[in-house]
Amino acid sequence: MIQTDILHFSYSSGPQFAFPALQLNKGESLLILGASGSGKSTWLQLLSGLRKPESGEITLDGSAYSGLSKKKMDQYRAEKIGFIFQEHHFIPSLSAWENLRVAFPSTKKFPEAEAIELVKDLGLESIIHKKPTGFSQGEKQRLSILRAVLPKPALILADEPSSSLDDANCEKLINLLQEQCKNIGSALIVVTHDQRIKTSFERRIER
Amino acid sequence: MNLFKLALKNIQFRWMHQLLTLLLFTLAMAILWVIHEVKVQSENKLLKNLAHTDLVIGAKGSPLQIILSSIYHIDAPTGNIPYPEAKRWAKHPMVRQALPLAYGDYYLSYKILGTDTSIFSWYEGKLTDGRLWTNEGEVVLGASCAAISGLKVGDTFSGQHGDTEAESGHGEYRVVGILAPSGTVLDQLVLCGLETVWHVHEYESGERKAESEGLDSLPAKNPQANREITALMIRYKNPMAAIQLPRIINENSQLQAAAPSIEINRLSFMLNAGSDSLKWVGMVLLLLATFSMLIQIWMGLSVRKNEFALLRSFGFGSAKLLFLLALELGLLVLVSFFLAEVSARWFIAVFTSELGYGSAYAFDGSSFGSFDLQLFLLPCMVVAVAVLLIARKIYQISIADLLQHP
Repeated sequence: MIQTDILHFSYSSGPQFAFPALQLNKGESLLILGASGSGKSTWLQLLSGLRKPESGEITLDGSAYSGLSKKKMDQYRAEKIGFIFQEHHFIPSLSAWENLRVAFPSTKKFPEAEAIELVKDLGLESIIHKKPTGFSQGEKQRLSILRAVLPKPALILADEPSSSLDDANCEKLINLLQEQCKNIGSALIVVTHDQRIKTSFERRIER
Repeated sequence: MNLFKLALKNIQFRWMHQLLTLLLFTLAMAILWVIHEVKVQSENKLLKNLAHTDLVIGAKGSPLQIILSSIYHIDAPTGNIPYPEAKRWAKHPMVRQALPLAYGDYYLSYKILGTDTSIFSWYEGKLTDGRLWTNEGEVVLGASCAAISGLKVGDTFSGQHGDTEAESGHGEYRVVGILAPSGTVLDQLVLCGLETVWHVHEYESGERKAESEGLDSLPAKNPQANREITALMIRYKNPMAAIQLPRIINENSQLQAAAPSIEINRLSFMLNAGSDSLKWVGMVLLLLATFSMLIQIWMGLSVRKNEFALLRSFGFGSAKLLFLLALELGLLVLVSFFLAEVSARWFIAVFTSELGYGSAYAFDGSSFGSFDLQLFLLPCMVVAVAVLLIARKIYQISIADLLQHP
């Protein structure tokens, strides 16, 4: 579960932001919708502990961010937060399977059987031992989702996950993402400017 | 997945980018190793074959040629000297020990050298089979000569007048002893008494004269008085001899006295000039390899920025990322080092066999010493500097780099 107070943050170059308090339970999802410059990526960085708010507290799975050192926050983030980026980045020297393994927190045991099952469910068997350089956009998306959900993090943050997709694929992606997060009991926050996915979320904040 | 495996995977994936750096490091280290080993081993062999010889007396000519021909047996002598006069200098009060050398024929490409049995103590040579010569025509073979020729104690052979097989059939020699390998010129020689060499030469000169006068054979006139040797090696009785004896000999005789230490220094100076130039080539290659590595890292960092940011999101700290990069570079250097060590030794082996050197002048590529360690540490230091230079950049990499800008 993630819970935040009202968060304030300002850049030294000028822009000042205030973000509303929020609470998200296991398996719930939230859409943060806003145009460029509205501060949604700043909010994402605050939620992931990459930036510290000037005021307000963020608590994830019972631990307050303010009580964690930078190093501890790095470890905590790796264990508790899964990321899905707009560009699907992978380690190019590793196969898809090795990419899943390297992303898995070192403090947990890699769930081999479960991973194989999910690979089958997402239709990735044919590419799982190949390097990701030649993957299609759809294969990259599914692999990204699998990589984020496999460690069963408390929170999954998706940054503009649909902006480079056509309508059909966009809907597929969001449905898959919500379904997987529900299955593993992770809270999902999607940050985007893409109006097409607005109706897919019951809870949303527009900025 | 451990860091070592990840580093290996990254190297395999980008091997084309790293090939130039790898080749430059390999070439630089191989050149530096070959130069160092050839120089050190040459100097060691020069000193070992010198065997504390203080002075060499030969016929008038180049002092360096006298040293090279008499001590190292790698040049033609300047001529012969009368044996009675050589004996007179051998008994000089400033001389502690003297060793006469008389060049004879050849067997295969091995020189048959007439001398006395004190040559064995002079070079600390030891018999591995048989005995020393006691009669004319008996020879003791050096280790390399015995191994190559396959001759054993009791075998006989004919000498050749030159060092080619075309002129064979001169004199009959019988093997009575074989020497253990000593790493000195002894390994390359067929040793016998002075009388053996003189007898063969007197017979040959008589035969030639008889041939020219149309007779069957003709003995040489008064052979005892005309006997000659090629050189006389001397050890001084005291340090004063080093200052006085060469001058006395050069001023009071038709002979040439050559001090090995002076000539070897001159030779080393000439050789060092050549090896120093090659050493600079090696250093320049090492510098190029360093630049190649730095450029590769710098350019690779912008290409791999997202990869590193991704690893940060998986919990890799900045220090771990830096260590990963150091590991990749370190493995590259390690591979270069092994390639350099192997290729340099291979070069030494080919170089030695191509030159046809025997064991006394062969270069040994099997040793692993402190220079090898220095050679490995040098590029390791380059890696350390490279890693320090990019440390700041690595520490600046954040997961935020993968997120869209506000």
